[in-house]
Formats: sequence, structure tokens, C-alpha cells
Amino acid sequence: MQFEFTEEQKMIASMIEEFARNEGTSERVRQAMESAPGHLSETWQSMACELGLCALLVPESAGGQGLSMVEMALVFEQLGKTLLPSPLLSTAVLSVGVLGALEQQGPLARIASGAVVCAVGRLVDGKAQFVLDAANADLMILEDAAAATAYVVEAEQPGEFPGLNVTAVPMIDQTRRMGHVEVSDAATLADFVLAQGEAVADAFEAGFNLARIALAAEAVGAAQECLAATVEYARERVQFGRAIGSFQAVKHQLADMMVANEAAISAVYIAACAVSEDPDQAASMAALAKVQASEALTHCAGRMIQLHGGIGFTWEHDAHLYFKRAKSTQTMFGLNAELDETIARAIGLEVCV
Amino acid sequence: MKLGFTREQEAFREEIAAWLDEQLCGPFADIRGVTSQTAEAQRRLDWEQALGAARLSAIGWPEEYGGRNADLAQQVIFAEEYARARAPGRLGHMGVELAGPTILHFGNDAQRQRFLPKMAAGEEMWCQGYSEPGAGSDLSNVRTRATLEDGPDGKRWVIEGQKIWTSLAQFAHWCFVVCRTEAGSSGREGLSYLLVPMDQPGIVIRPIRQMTGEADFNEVFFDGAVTAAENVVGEPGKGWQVAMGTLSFERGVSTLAQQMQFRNELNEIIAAANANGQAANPLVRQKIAKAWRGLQTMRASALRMLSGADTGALSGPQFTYKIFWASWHRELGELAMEVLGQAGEVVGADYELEDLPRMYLFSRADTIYAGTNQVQRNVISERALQMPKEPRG
Repeated sequence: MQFEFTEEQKMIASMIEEFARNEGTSERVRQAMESAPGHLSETWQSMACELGLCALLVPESAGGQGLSMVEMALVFEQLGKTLLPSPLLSTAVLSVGVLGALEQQGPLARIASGAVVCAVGRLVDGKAQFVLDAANADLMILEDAAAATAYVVEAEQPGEFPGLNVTAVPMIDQTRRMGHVEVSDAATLADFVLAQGEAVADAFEAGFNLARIALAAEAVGAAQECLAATVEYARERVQFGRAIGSFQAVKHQLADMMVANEAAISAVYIAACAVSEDPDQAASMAALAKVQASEALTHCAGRMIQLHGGIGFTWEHDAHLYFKRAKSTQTMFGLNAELDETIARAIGLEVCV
Repeated sequence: MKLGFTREQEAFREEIAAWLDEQLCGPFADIRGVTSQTAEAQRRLDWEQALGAARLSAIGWPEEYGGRNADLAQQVIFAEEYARARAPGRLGHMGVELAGPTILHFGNDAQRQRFLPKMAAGEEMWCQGYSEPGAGSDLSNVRTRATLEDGPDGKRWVIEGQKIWTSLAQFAHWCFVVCRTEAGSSGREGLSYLLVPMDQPGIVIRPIRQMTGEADFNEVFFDGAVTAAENVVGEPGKGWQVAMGTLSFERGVSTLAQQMQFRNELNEIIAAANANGQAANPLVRQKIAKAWRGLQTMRASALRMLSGADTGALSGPQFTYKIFWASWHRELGELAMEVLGQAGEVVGADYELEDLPRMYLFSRADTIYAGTNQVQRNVISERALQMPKEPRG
């Protein structure tokens, strides 16, 4: 048992932080936000190809690096600090998680090479709503739970798939891209079956559990940035002849932000460790990380606006970007209340029938 | 970064589990699961000696002082098994967890030889003489004073003053006392850290009845109490640094045992909710899930703190751990009562309390002792976040 980062892990974190700081300036984040695909293609190229982040979780047998969720969490924590938009979460974590569980070497190798954006959706009655990066994906993995079937569909153009209608959905958080997917031609879709049977549901759950942890790590990075920016502001901003950070009413709010963040960091890394070592714990540990971290970010982003006063309410200031990121983090990959119910069952609270 | 244990560590776990089972199904079956601080005191003093005889009282200490040189993983395992076996709360913890590490770290060789083996053997119990009526959150305001005087056996400290909130003083053989040894000094200067024997005419102990109806805390009056000149830890006049060192040990491995106790309490709440039907209430389910998240978070934070313990500098969780666990535990008490309903409010004819209702009441102290939540927030904002310091009067 060793709950400390290795030297290699620390190196990954500092390399990614440097990248995120350079690429993720406020101007560039806003440029990406306002662009059609929702990210800057040269940034994505660097992440996918030069830094090899799409290969990180892919097994070595499929041309990947075979690293664990701990390394991936470190990457997302650093990227989260600057809100740098990219399709990394959908492609390198969620898709890799599903495909890895289904042992699909071919698609895994394509993702590892950095050549494709891959989205994952779950069809209910022929529709999958709020699919991350659906409208700019090159590959679409779909689950039809009722039929215990998984599909992987190749795009003709990014976001245009045979047998599917994909509609981009503008959202409050402009640093992510969501889309609705609808089956327009079931017979065409039937040509793209990837897997069938009981393993399908487990594979999608495994993928979403990894994605929840990466999402949580990203939130932890963002929450720490909210605290750092607010601390700096509290030190500089003078009212009543003194720095506002000298008032206990402000100091105690900052302290509470740090308490929430440290708890969230702990939750994320124990979950990242546990999911790598003991898959039986994956659902409850992923729920732990996601709820704890998204609540910490929600708390910190809200306090960031409050403690900045009027300037924190403007479009120009970045506080609202963190606040909106917090909202989408709370609701993605399962509502927090639903994840708490997952925990409730896992820890032995009886269910009435 | 890895959570799992090696085969050798699992073998250690089996050894610990087997010993605990044997003792708690056999000679100590009567005190299995006793958590109140003071119940069944004599039997629990026997238990301390049994732990000592098995070298299980202070496993992290060097072997020469009665420990096992246990590493972090072994200490985690010990804490887990101790709680799983529902072994009784430790009467020896003020010594083993606070006085012992302080003497080990700041004391001299003679002090280590004199005090540590008896502590680890469960033969000598300890208590902590810090707070005073006028020195609570503002600990540096202590007024208890000690002067070095000639005695029949050479120089000795003579102590005058009063300490308060002294847990377990009624069972203690020794007390570590922060007192003023330089006349005219104030604040953090001129304090010394003395080790004082409790069984002497100059010391009077008066129990304080607290809101649970029990008396876990005491007032301790020093009226010409004495201790030998050599019983000062660190340099005379430099006691503040030693006293703060002791507090840092509160963030040490003792947190693991405490967490395991918390886990038992949460399990008790889950069992109660299943038994009385509250488990069907979605609000209760969510609150219990939240409590579980807090518990996992604390476990991870403790492992972060302890893994980084050798680096010296305080890390994030070292600053935030106290306020987090204290607030979490207070909320757990409220949750317990919500689950139990009015049945949880029933007391015995002499105000005897069941475990969960006692925890509900006692947890109101958690956010006060060892640094109130208010003081914790000041410390976090000033020391971790470098906000301007509070003005001092």
C-alpha cells in the first residue's frame, strides 16, 4: 500500500500543467468555445498525437501506453485548471473504457493513434440524448440496452453517420459539446453491430465509471483554480482601507473552499486507485469521485463569483465559465442523486420492492 | 500509488485478527464494543496491559521501547482489524498517541527510557494539561506557572494553577503540562512542557459533568504540585514548540483508529435504517450515501497525510482534516437521530445513553476541542492560503 504519486506520475502532471497553461489561456478557451467543433484543432492534435493522451489508457497490445486511471486523473486535473476544451473525455476515457471492456483491438488502435474523435451514447427507444461530442465525432459507439447490443458506426463526415441523425445542442456550458442522436434507419444501423449479450451492459458501465472519475479529476483541477484565483483577488482587492482577505467573513469562505477541494482530491485519487485494482468497487468509487468533485467545484465556482463581487458576474471575467462547467459536471454521466443511490445500494441499504 | 496489500501484510492482518478474536471472545469478551470514554474503566486498564504484553499497544514505535517498528500499511491494517473486532476504545491513547510521540521526538534518551516502555506496556496512563479557563482557543495565554526550587532530592518544579477539559485524568499516572516557567513572560515565550506525576497531594481532580450526563473531562488543580527538574521535554522556556509538536501527532496514525470507529457507527446507522424501515426513505438513503462518501474521503485524506508525513511540510489535508472529520461526525450524529426517530431519544432511568444517541450529543464537542471550527478556518486561511493574520489583543 502506497498512497503517493511516483516520480513518473509527478512528471506527467507537470508536463500537462505546462501544456494546459500555454494552450488554455482565457482568449484561447473562448476562441474554442465559440468555434463550431468546440475545440481548437491544433490543440487537439497536440493532445492526441504529440502528447499521446488518446493512447494513455489503451492496452499496449493495441498500440497504447497501458497506463492506469491514476495517470489519466492527473492529466484531467491539470487540463481542468484552465477549462481547455477538447474531445479527450469522450474519446480517450469513455470510448476506450467501453471498447477495452469489449476487447475491441481495432477501434482501440485507431483511437490510440490520435486520428479519431469517438463518442458514446445509450439508446432508449431509438434516441440517445446529450451525447458528449456526438456532433463532431468520427466514430459513434451506441448501446441499445433493450437489445443487449452495441454498435460502432463510422462517420461519413464528422457528425454525419449512416442510419443516424445527430443534432448539435447548444448548452449553458459552452466548453463542452453535446448532441442528440436518433436512429433514422434501423436496418442500416444493424450493419454496425459491435457486440451482443450480457457483456454489453457491463462494458458501457465500465466505460462510464472511468469517465466519471476523469470528469471528477477535471472538476478538482477547476475547483483548485477557482480557489487560487479568489485567494489572489482577496489579497489585492481593498475595501474599507484593507484587503478583503483580512475579513474573517471572507477568510472563512476561502477556508471552506479549501476543505471541499482537499476532500475532492482525496476522493478522486482513491477512486482512481480502486477502479484500477478492484473492478467490483468501480461503481461506488466512481460515484464517490464524481459527486464529491462536482459538488466541490459547484461550491468553489459559486464562492468565486460571490467573493469577486460585481466583476465576477460579468461575461468578461472567467468566473462564469467555471460556474457553468460546474453545472454540466453535476449533471453529466448520471445525476448526483442517482449516483448517491448507486452508493446506497452498494453499502447495503435495503431496497423496497 | 497503490491501495492493495502484499501477502506479508495480509499475513500480519491474520495474526492481528486472530489475537483480537481470541482475546475478545475469551478473557475480554465483557468489554467488547465498549466505546464510551469511561465505562468499565478497570477492565479497560487490564486491556491496555494485555495489548502491551502482546506488543500491540504502540506498534509504530521502535522495538526497544515496546513497539514493532510497524510501517504505515501495518498500522492501517491494525486499525482496521481493531475496529472490525469491536475492541474497546483505548484508555491509553493520550499516552501512546500524544505523549509518547512527543517524548520520542523532542525528549532526551533518559526520558525515552523512563517513560516509553511503561506507556507501551499499558502500565502508565497519561492525560493532557493544555487548556485553562482563560486559555481555550488562545492556548498561549496559559497562566499555570512552575518554578524551579530546591527539594529534598534536589531541584524540582513546583506548579501552581489550573487545567480544564482534561480527559481521562482520573485514570492517569502522568500528565503533560504546558506552563509558564519564566516570570513576566507572555504569549508563546517562556512556556515549558513538564511531565508531572498525578498521584500526589498537590493535585486535585474534579470531574466535569458534560451534556451526555457522563464525566469524561476534568478540572485539574495544581497547588504546590511537584515534579523532578529533569522532567521537562525540550528546553525550559521553549515549551510552545513542543506543545505544537504534540498537536501535530493528533493528525497522525491515531486518525486511522478514529475513522474505523466512525465506520462502525455508520454501519450501525445502516443496520438501524434497514431494521426500522427508514431505508425506504429516499432522503435518508441520500444522506447515508453522503456520509459514506465522507468516510471514504477521510480514509484517502489520512493516507495522503501519512504517506507524505516524512516530507515535513504540512500538506493540504493536514490543514483541512480536523474541520472535515469534526463537521462530518457532528452531521453523522444528526443523521443517526433522524434514522432512529423518537426511539433514539429514550434514555435510561439514570440518563444512560445508547451508543448512537451518545455519539449525537458527544459530537457537539468534536467541533470545539483540538481547535474549534472557527479557529481551524483561521488557521487554514492564514497558514495554507496566506491571508492576512487576525489582529491580536
